[in-house]
Amino acid sequence: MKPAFSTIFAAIVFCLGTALLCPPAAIGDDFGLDDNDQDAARKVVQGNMECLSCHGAATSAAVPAVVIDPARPSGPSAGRTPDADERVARQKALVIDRGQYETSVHADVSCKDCHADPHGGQGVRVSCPQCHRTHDASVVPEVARSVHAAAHLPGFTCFSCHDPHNVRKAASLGTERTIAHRDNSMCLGCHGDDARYARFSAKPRPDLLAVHSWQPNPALHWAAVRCIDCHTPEKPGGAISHEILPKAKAERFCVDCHSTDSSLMTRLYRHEVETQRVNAAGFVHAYILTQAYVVGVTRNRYLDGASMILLAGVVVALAGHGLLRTLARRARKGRK
Amino acid sequence: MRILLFAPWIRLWHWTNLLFIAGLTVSGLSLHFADPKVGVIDFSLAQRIHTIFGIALSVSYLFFVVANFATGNWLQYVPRRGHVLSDMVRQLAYYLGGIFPGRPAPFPVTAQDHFNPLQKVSYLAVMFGVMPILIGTGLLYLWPELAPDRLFGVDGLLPIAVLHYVAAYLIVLFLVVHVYLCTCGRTVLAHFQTMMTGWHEEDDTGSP
Repeated sequence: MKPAFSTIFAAIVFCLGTALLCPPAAIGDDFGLDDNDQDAARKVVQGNMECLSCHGAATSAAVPAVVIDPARPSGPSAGRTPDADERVARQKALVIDRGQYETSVHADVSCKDCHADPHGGQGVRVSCPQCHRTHDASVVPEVARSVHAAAHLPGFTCFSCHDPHNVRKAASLGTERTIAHRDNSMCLGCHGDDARYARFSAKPRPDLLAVHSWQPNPALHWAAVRCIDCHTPEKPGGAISHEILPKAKAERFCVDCHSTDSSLMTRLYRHEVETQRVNAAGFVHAYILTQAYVVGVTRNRYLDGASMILLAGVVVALAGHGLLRTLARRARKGRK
Repeated sequence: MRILLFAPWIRLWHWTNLLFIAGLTVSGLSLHFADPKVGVIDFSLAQRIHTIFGIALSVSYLFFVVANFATGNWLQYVPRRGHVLSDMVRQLAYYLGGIFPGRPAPFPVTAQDHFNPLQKVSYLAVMFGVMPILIGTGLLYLWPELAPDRLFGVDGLLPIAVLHYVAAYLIVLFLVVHVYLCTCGRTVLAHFQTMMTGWHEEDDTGSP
C-alpha cells in the first residue's frame, strides 16, 4: 500500500526539522565548519544556542522546577529520598550558566566539539589535552608532576579544578583581587570544604590557617594573591605552571614577591607589566597600588632617594661639625 | 657639683626605647628595601622582629606618656613661653659658633631645667607628634582590616605606609643628630654617662 501523501509530507517535514534543530553528531565537521569558514563563529554560536536553549541557566524554567530549582529545599528533611537528591544533583549538573559560558574562553567552541552525542548516551568525547596540548605541550607533564597526581586522588581530573563552561582569561576578569578570588575559589572548593575534600582523600582536611601560620596575615595574602602564585614553580615565558606544589616545595622566600624585582610581575600582575613601571609620582609598579600596597615592591623612588640624600647630608654635616670641634679644642689646648 | 637629672624610670625607658628603635630601624630597612641579593636581615625574620619590637615600642611609649604625666616630668619639655623662637636661635647660634671657641652654653643644665630650647622643642615634636603617628600607622599595619579599604584612589594601606616611612625616617634622623649632640658635653661620653647613672656633673657646656 502506498503511503498517503500527507504521511510522506509529514516525514519530510520531520526530517528537515530534525536536521535543522538537532545538528549531526560529528562536529567541526558537525556543523560543516572548517578553519577557513569566515562565518564559523556565527555558526558555532547559533549551534550552541540550540543546546543552551535547554541546558542554559537562562532557560532553566523549561526543565521541571521540582528537579532543578536550587531555591527549593532538598535533602531527606524536605521529605525526599536520597535518590531524589542525587537526581536533583545530576540534573543540576546538566544546566550551565549561559552568561558565564558566553563570556568564557570556550564561547567560540561548539558544544558538540566536546559533547559528541549526549542524548545518544555518549558523554564527553574529548579530553582537555586533546585540544590544549597543541597550545602548551608542557601542561600534561606538569599535571603529572603535580601534588594531586602524586597523591593518586581517585576521580581527580581537570574538571575537579576547572569548569570548562566558565573559564576566563585572567586579564578579562578585571582587578587582580577579582582574579585572586576566582582562582582561589577553585582551590578552596576542596581545601575549604570537608565534604568535597573527602571525595578525594580519606585524610582529614588540613586547617589552612594553621598550615599558613608562618605567613604574616594569611587572610590578607589570600585576598590579594593566588594560591598558585606560591604553589607553582616559576615557569619560563610567564605562563602559570600546572605543577601544583605541596607545602614543602611551595614558595616561602618572601623576597621573591616582596622586592622591586617581584615575581608578581611574571605571575598575578603579568598582564599589567606593559604599563608604566614607575609613575609620575615616583611609585615603582604603581599599577599594583590600586589593588594593594606590597611592602618592598611599591616603593617611591623620589621619597627613598630624597630621604637617603638628606640623611647622608646630615651625617656629613655632623661629621664636619665634629671635626671642627676637635680641631678647635686642640687649638685651645695648644694656646694654653 | 653633681645633680640628679634623670630618675631611674626615665633612664630605663630611654635605653629600652633605644633598643626597640634600633631593632625596628634595622628590620624596617630590611623590609622596605627588601632585595633577594642584599638583604640585611631575612625578610621573614625582619617581619617577626618588626612586629615584636613594634608592640614593645608601643607599650614602652604608653609607659612614657603615663609616667611623664604622673610625675610631672612632661613640664621639662615645655619651652619658655614667649621666647620659643629666640631661645632656639640662641641655642643654634651656640652650636654653629660659640661651641668651637669653648664659650659657655646659653642654657646650662640645672636641676629645674634639664633641657635646652632646641631639645625641648625637638623632644616635644618627636615624642608627642611623630611617635604617635609612627605607632598608630604601625598598629594599623598589624591590623590592616582596621585601615580604610581605599584612600585617594589607591589601596588604603599606601598612605598609611608612606606616613609610617616618613615618621620612622624622622625618628632615625633625630636619633643620628641626638647621638652626635650627646658628644658635645664636658667630655665626649659625659652625657651618655648621665643617662646611665642619672647624675650630671655641672659644667658650662649645657645639655645636648
